[in-house]
Amino acid sequence: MSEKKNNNDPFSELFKRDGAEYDIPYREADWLKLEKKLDLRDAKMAYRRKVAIITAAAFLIISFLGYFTYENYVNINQLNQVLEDQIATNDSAQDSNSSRENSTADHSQEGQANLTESSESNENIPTDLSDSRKTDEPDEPSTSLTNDLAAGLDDLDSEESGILACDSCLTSELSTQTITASLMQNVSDPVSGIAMIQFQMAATQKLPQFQFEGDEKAPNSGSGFSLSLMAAPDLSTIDGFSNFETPGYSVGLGVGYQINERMSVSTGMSRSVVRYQGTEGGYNPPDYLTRGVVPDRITGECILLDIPLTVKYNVLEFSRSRIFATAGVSSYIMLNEEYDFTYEDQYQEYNSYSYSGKTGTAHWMSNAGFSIGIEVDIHPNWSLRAEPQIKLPLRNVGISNVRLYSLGSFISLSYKL
Amino acid sequence: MFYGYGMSITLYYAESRDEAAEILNDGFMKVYENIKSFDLNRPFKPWFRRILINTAIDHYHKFKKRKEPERFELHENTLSGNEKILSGINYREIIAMVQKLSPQYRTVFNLYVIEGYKHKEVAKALDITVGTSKSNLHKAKQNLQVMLEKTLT
Repeated sequence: MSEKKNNNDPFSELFKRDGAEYDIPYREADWLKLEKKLDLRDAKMAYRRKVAIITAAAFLIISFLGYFTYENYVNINQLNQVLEDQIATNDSAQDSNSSRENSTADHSQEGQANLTESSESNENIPTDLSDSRKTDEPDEPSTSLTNDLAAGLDDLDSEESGILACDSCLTSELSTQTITASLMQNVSDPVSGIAMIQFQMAATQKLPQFQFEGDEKAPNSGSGFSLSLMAAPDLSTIDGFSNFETPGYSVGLGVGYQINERMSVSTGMSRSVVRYQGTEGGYNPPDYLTRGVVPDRITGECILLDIPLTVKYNVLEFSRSRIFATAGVSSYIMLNEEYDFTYEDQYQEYNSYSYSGKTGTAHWMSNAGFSIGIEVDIHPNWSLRAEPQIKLPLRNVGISNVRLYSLGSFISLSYKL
Repeated sequence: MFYGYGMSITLYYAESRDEAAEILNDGFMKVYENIKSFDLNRPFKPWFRRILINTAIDHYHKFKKRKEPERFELHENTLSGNEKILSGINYREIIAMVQKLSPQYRTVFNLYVIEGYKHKEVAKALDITVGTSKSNLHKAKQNLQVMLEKTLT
């Protein structure tokens, strides 16, 4: 900007007269308008801080669950690696024993005679194993393992002498190490050593299947029903995902039913405190509330019951967690409604009045809800979910006929019945 | 403390006192939000004045389509040379005349005559051509002259 003043003629000089010469009286109304601007700015800053905190909290939760899932995945991979290494070790041991068996044929024949004798004296062993299998029938993994071990017995024919003590070990302890230790205590000759190795192989080859089959089937076991406790912050608006008020909250209970491995349906009821504000266009209150004049701005706080009906689909499955997406509709029952209606008159002064009432109106299938989330099994029957969600209006709700948009992030704890 | 000073500036750029107060409040908000950028070693008033002028220009852009330029009948016998008569005009009457100008004429007149902008700077600030700035200034002066004549008669 040039500092030089233009047009220094008397006419221009007249209009450049210093305003300080004229005492401009202070007006209280001007300060009130500035105060409103400052309040609005503070509210926006507070809202930004809250959004930042909520975002950070959601990020932390998702990071934690992601880390938990990753740790699970790594542990399982490590376990797989250990088992594979053990199988490889057993294979090489079996090969070396086979060589030794060939080179000590005479010694084996002598041992065979001993084993035949032992076999005659222990004819009840297969029966015991069968009995054991019968008693363990509800336990699929144990049955599988017992079958494998029985197959190992069949392969070995009369080499059961060193296995007698293993019958109890099968039912009490399923780890390879225990099987190996038990067998080692009862094996004193090379032939029984071969039996030990073959049994160990049979057990270790099946152990991974046992472990993972058990883990995968656990979520689907039971009645298929589940109960959940849910809580979420609620950011609502009637201006299409802008102009948010102070966040509300939602707390409730839900019940779900697993239709198949990936899909489930759920419903429930939650009590929500919804706060929102909006400008003209997002509401249409009845004339008796507004004296026939649509307000320029509305601020509302409603307590309502939210009854959702949701379909959940597991998009990605991991051993102990899953990523899912949901879609559904929500019905609202308004318990209490409070509104502040604000008008702007010709002098830009704001006049407002309030309404509060226990309306109790029901608005069926008024909002559509969508979410994506992660569910982590923290126990065979318990799981934890983090579920950011969005709700869009299908129809107007409340006595002011607002089109309610909501954002939230459900944290829920589920129990499989 | 700065209310009177601020109003003495914004009244030039507004049609009414309410509008001037609105510009002033917006200016105060900018001061509040940008106070960290103020150099304490420099005087406050020029910095404040610059903010108010920029706020007034923003206000012009926001409402520039609000009103068409007014037309005044130009009288040939100008009063620009009669300093004695002009000195009898008080500040309230001066502000009232400026406020009667259309926003386009008023803003160009204020920036050029009061603030000392050059036509190139006025054109850049208001997003108009230099020719338009000169034309608007000329018409603003003509209109003010007519109003001044009416005031004195």
